[in-house]
Amino acid sequence: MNKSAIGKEYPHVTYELTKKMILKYSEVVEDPNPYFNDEEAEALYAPHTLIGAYTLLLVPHIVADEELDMDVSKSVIHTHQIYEWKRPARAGDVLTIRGRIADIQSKGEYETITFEGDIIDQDGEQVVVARSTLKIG
Amino acid sequence: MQLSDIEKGLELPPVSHLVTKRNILRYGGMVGAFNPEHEDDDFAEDVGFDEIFAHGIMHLNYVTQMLCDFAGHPERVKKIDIEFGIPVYPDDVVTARGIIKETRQEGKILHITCEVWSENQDGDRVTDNGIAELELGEDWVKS
Repeated sequence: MNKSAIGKEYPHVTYELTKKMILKYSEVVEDPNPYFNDEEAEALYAPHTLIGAYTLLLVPHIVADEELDMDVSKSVIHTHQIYEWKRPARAGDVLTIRGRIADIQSKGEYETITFEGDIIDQDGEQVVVARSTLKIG
Repeated sequence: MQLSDIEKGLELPPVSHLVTKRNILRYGGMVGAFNPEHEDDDFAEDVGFDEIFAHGIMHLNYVTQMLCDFAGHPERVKKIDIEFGIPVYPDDVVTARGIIKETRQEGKILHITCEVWSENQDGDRVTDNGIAELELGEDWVKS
């Protein structure tokens, strides 16, 4: 990968967090907490990892980034994750992902890349801060 | 159990899940995963794995499920910092575990730092060296 891509920001991606997305996510990760499953409740909350999973919406931008030159024909594994939740996301939130490359390192046989993302709500407030490191090769 | 009962060394009730191939495939489909390691057994073998394996964030939810079950409300789970260990394959049973390392009362809020990890049926860690932060209010009770 090209280290000059460190600091690069990707186009912001915005999506509405729907009840359907939350209910399906809770079902697939088998999290029975009523806060994540009761669609009749005043607020339907997103399981804590959901927002992180949807940062994968940025992946097509990253894979297509010729400057970064990331080889996804190799093994790509997630090695480290930090999430700071400022508040739980809820159905109806309109969330914007602001992602950037925080670091790239060569470790001989493999490389690592670290992404940082802020997830911002419809009022411009931070919902989650995420930092994800992947090992490639 | 009340707030005053929470102290260093207390173990969080663990959470276990049987990971199915179907759920791994559904997880990738939900977010439009790009990574064939989670979808295509042949590709996964070619790059050095036994077969497809679960997305890290998918089984990380077992850890956050444990934290949220203990904390009682999604708002009380504030942070996690964790490493991924060996891959989680279809039919693995993953158990999330945690132990309280530190508590700090600040006004009406009890700040809790937990060590968290998860392991498969062989006791091998699939997440490790996790630190999680919870904030519990004075109304916290656990049955």
